[in-house]
Amino acid sequence: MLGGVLGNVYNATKSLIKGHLVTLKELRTPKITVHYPDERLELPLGSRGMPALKVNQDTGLLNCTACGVCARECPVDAIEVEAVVGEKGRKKRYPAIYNLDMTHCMQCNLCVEACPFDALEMSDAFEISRYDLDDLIFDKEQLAEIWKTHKAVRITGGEKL
Amino acid sequence: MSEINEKVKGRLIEQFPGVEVSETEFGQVEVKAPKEIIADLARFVREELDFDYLTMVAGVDYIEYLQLVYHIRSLKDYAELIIKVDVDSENAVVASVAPIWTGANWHEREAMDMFGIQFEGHPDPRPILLPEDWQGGHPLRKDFIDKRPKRERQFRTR
Amino acid sequence: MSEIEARRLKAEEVGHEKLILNLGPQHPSTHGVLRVITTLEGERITEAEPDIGFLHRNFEKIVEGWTWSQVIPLTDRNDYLANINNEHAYVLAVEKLAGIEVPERAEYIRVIMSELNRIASHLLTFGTFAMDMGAFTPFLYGFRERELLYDIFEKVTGARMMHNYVRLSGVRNDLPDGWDKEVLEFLDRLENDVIPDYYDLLIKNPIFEARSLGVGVLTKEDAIAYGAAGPILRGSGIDWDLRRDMPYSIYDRFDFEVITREEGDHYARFMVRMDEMIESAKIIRQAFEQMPEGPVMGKVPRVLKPEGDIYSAVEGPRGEIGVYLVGDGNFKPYRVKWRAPSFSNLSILPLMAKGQFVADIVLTIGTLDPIFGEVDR
Ligand code: SF4
Ligand code: SF4
Repeated sequence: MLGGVLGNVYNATKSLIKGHLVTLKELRTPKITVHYPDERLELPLGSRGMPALKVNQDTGLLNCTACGVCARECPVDAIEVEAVVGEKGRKKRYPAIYNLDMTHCMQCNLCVEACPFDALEMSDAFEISRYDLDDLIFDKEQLAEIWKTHKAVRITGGEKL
Repeated sequence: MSEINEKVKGRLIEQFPGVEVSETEFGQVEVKAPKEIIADLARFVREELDFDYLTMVAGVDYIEYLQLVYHIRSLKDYAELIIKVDVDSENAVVASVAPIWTGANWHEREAMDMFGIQFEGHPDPRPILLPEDWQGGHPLRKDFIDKRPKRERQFRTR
Repeated sequence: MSEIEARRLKAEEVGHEKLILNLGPQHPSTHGVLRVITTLEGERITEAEPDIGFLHRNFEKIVEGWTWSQVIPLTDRNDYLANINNEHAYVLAVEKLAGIEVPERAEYIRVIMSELNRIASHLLTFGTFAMDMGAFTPFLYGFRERELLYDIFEKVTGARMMHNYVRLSGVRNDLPDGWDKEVLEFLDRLENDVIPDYYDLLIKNPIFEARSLGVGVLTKEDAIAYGAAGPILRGSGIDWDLRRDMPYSIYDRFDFEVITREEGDHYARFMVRMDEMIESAKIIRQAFEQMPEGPVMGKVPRVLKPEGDIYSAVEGPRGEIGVYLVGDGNFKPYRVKWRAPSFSNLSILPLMAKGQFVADIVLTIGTLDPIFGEVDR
């Protein structure tokens, strides 16, 4: 009886010490917690935040031709594109409206892969919380601004990053 | 593997003349059975042919009729069996296989929710995924209309 | 006669009363939104009835309105701890149905990512199981390792959880340079430091053993009859793993063991998961060695209109993830049925909980490890 109790005490102490040794070992290991927002992680290239519209560096205009492929490919209908309509009702290759509804978007990258004109890229902008639902619908100027201020890449069919 | 399939096919045709037995291109035996014999067929494959592991019971709505698809594995023989049973859309009643494979219980309850198929002899026929007081119809039927209020789409106002 | 004595006699006179105790749906130990209605007699459970469907969004109906390739991001949300395995299951089924070829390198990348995801998922299960038992520290350890693994994922897929990485006929992008070294480093650390630490921290602890050895025993027959999958099946002594027994993708090229344990109790299921991590590490190492160079995307037909039906399955961390597809020659799936392993696993709960203590049902839910994105779909 006594042996059983002693054995239990011995076992418990042993496992307690072992457990604490593991914890003590952590004193030496480097800290991996990052105190966001004071500190920030370096996001790897290709990290997916929200889609952004690419701006042509030479002309300063959007690459987008308002073809609407991305809007069709988006599973949740987050994109709304309308082309500029010129005289005689002909559509010009330039978007009049390009709205991205971030209340719907799930940052899946499908629109970026679908765009045939290299006009849409995935930026790493993830801090997009707003006080108003309305503000979560980004228009084309805002999307271009995000492209300018964030890292953005376009990853498609089997290339390397 | 195909030897076992041959054996299974042979036994099934012998026991149940009149059922359609074939082999899919993915190496599974497929049986199309009338719904009257499903209980006998299930008991036969469970006890005589060692198909002991029911993975799923899926309903499919082909508009004119509903179909129940049972996928069963034999853990001993590494064989797969698919049983397809056609059910009337309006009067959807089938014998339950839950007494034979206990795991069919929840799968059949799900089919009950989603397609409105009634399982005779089911130990616990209650809704499982849908709320108990759901009145909106059977969601996975093709003629289902979602009557719940829609979320308004946001439009940019400023 | 003391007062306590009098009360005891009174209680005996009245007879035992049944108590109905409602656990969840917002309960910290139910791994999501599970509600269990238990009937108690004293401390013993006489009946437990899981009530599910709180996360139900009808995945299967939603995808009927989407094209074949648009479904892939949504499969991530089913078992949100094993995203790549889910994507793999779906993509494999569509590829088989439509007869799409996959380049060799893509297959290897898929295997590597699936196995890494299995490790990530088991690490979390380790942590949550410890927390169900009341040990908070191991939970943080499990989470730390998983976070580091997610950093590794993010470098390839661009996301930490919802990867949307596997594509029809391949994977979205190739591995970045030097990524394999990072993975191998992580695996070395996992095998040499992390898992031995876990043993010291938790597994060799007498309390842990007392609470898991011989508790919640699931017999072989019941495991098969209920269609239990994955570690639960193998913890009950059934030697069954789709990766070995019905190899899909390229799993027949790797040499690994299928971990089984005979006891069928909490400890057995837990240890199956721990040992599976090491086996996964083995597979990843072999895959890196064998991996050829080449493209990672094959040709997808421009119009994808498969016809027919197919059931195809992969072995996820929680067991057999099966997909039953029906195509009617359209660009949308006619029917997608998702065979979720957690759904079958959770259906065993009433059987296992019967006769247990209330404190143990929490552990039982912990070892069954249901993920409610997948149970409720
Ligand atoms: S990232 Fe996905 S959800 Fe968002 S807009 Fe593009 S396609 Fe739609
Ligand atoms: S972003 Fe690309 S796909 Fe979308 S409308 Fe513009 S050019 Fe077309």
